[in-house]
Amino acid sequence: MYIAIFLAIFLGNLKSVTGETKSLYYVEPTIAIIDEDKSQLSTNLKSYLESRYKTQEVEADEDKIKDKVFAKSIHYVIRMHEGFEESIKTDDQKYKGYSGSEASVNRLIEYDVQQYLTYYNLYEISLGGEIPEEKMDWVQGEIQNISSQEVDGKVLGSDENATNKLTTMYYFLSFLIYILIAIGFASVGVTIVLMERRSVKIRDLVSGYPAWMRSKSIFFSSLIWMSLIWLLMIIVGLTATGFEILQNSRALLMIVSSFVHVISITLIIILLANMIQSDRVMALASTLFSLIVAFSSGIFVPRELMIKELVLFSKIFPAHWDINNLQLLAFDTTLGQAEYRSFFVNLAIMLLMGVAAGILNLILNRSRERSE
Amino acid sequence: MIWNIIFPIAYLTLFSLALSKVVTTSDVDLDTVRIVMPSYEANEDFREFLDGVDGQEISVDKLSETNDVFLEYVLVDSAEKAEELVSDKKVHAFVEFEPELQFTGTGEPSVYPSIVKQLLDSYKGMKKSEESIQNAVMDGTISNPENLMALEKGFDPPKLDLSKRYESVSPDKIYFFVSFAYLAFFPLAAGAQVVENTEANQNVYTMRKRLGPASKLKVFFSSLVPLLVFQLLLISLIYVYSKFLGVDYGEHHLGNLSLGWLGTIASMFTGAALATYTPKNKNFRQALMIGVPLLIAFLGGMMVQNIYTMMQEKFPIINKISPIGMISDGLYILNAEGYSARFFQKLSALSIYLLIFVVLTLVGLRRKKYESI
Repeated sequence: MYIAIFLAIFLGNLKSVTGETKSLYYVEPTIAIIDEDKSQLSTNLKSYLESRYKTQEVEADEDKIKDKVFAKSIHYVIRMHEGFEESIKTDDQKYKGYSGSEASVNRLIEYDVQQYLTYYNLYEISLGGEIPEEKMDWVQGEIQNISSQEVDGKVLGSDENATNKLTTMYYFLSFLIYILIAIGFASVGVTIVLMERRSVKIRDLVSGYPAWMRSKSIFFSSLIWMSLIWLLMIIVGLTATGFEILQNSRALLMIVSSFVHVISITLIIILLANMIQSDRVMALASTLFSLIVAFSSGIFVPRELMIKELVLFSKIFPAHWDINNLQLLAFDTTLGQAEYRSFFVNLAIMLLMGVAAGILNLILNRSRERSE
Repeated sequence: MIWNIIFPIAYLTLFSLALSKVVTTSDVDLDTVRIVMPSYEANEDFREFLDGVDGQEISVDKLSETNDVFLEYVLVDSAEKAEELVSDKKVHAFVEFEPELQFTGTGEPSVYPSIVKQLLDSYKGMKKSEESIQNAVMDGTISNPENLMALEKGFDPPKLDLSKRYESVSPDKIYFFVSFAYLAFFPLAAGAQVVENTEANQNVYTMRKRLGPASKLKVFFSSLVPLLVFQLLLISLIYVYSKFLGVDYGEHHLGNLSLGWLGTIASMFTGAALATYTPKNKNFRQALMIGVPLLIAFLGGMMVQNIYTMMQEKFPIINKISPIGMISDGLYILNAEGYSARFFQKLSALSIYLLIFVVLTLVGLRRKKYESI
């Protein structure tokens, strides 16, 4: 049940990131244009903007417009009321814009509209103050030509296609951290809590089954189970990037880092299960712990937007170090000695955390056995 | 019980800490755009253009300083040095002029490549417009070149009145709206517990209680009311605490709280209905009570904002019928419009949802025969 729910969440997230990755991250806003003026200027401006942006239809209803902008289905709505052309040079422009709060996107669109108005005015003056009907198509064509001048951008030192796929891989591997923690607590954690109950444990031990063998079996079976879940999610994720990404050494290293995180988090879950000893609390901890890790480590929200103290706090989780590796491999343009050193240091930290959890678990078990 | 208090408080604290900069920053405070160019390629014309858009030239050692300008540009002696600055993320782009105007950046998701692209596109466009006017004069399309003298005297194109822009409620607030809705809908287990305290076949203690003469409905409501009061107080406390953490739900506190209260009551009756119809399978019920609200909150945009956009475009019905979607939409509407007709529609929809689950619970509780007690 948990796996089905979290697989649905994972697929949803994969769908949302696959369409967006580009070699250079360009903002491609979606706009809507409502032309109630139907003048020469408004018609031409509308046609110009439609050639430059993705557009969507929207009803001329304030509530519906605001809902679409809030939901980010549309980034900007330009509404030209009747009398727009006559009013454009006055203080009372018959125009209204509806936008989200992303200043950068608003600036892009408003700059473009302003550019159009500037060039339109330039041709008006050049042609004697008014654009004759017979020259309107020529003016529109010239403005389109001017505005369609595009400068190419590229990514430093990388193959564009590979960068796209590595970025997708980064997103799905980072989201996988959250999924694995949630499933790990709910499946492995709860199972261990139930198995460590005195009434169950004593039946195993009284049969002569050594305690250390029992602990070893629990550890390996937990690790195999988590690895299987991890593998299933990796295969699902690779359907988005294509399996040929595995030929890229960075992708392989990202997978290695992700697997080391699985080992580490399995050991931590086993420790916490032995400490918590309540299956209900363990099930609830799956939600809380996974969300805490996901928000603090930079999985849901970029670290650049978080307060420093929270980023510092997240260093106690292996997820923080895994994200470090994933970002290094997905976004750093060069992979030199320094970068490889960072990569291995992050791996070592994750392994150490796991080993520390394992040792603490052994100590906890031993002290419990002694007290019994 | 203590977990019902710890979880929301811990979650909300962390959530607010993680997202506080997202909402308050909202990319209004963009850093200065920085570009690097080879000194042997950058022409005077382009530098004048950059100066005209609030740009200034700086030296490489000044790159780490913060200045209040839109753009800074650095001139270097070699392409290798320029690439190094990009790779070290000291500049946003490396602009080259040969063989044609182009730029290079890192692949990291950022808005700065878009800004650099627009800047360079407009420079290229400006050169094109000069060429277009010259050609038009030469081929007679502009038959009266004296008109161009007016441009030399002063060119004052119309400026878009930006004060006429309505800025929506920040889409980043969807995180907070959905998280409050998720917490309001969290106490499903409390509702299930009420039924466990009522149905004899779900709990050995209840079995003993049910041997007494009290009617089932009386037992149900006597168990429900204190838990309900506790949960309503808790969601109110969560609301106050989140305001303390700096979350801005707007000024319509009573409206926000009504959504929270209604959501909490709906959650308890949803949990109760679930417990009524799944008496034996507690593990399955527990999985549903943890997983389903999380899934609905995910679809509402609690973890990844794009999911909300995707759902609104492709499957808007899901957020319309889910209680978490109804609560978060209600919070947004209150924020944007106040106590409008649409807000009351959301309250009504949530009430209908509640009514359905009240009926389901009561029907499920009535006339149940046990195989044996």
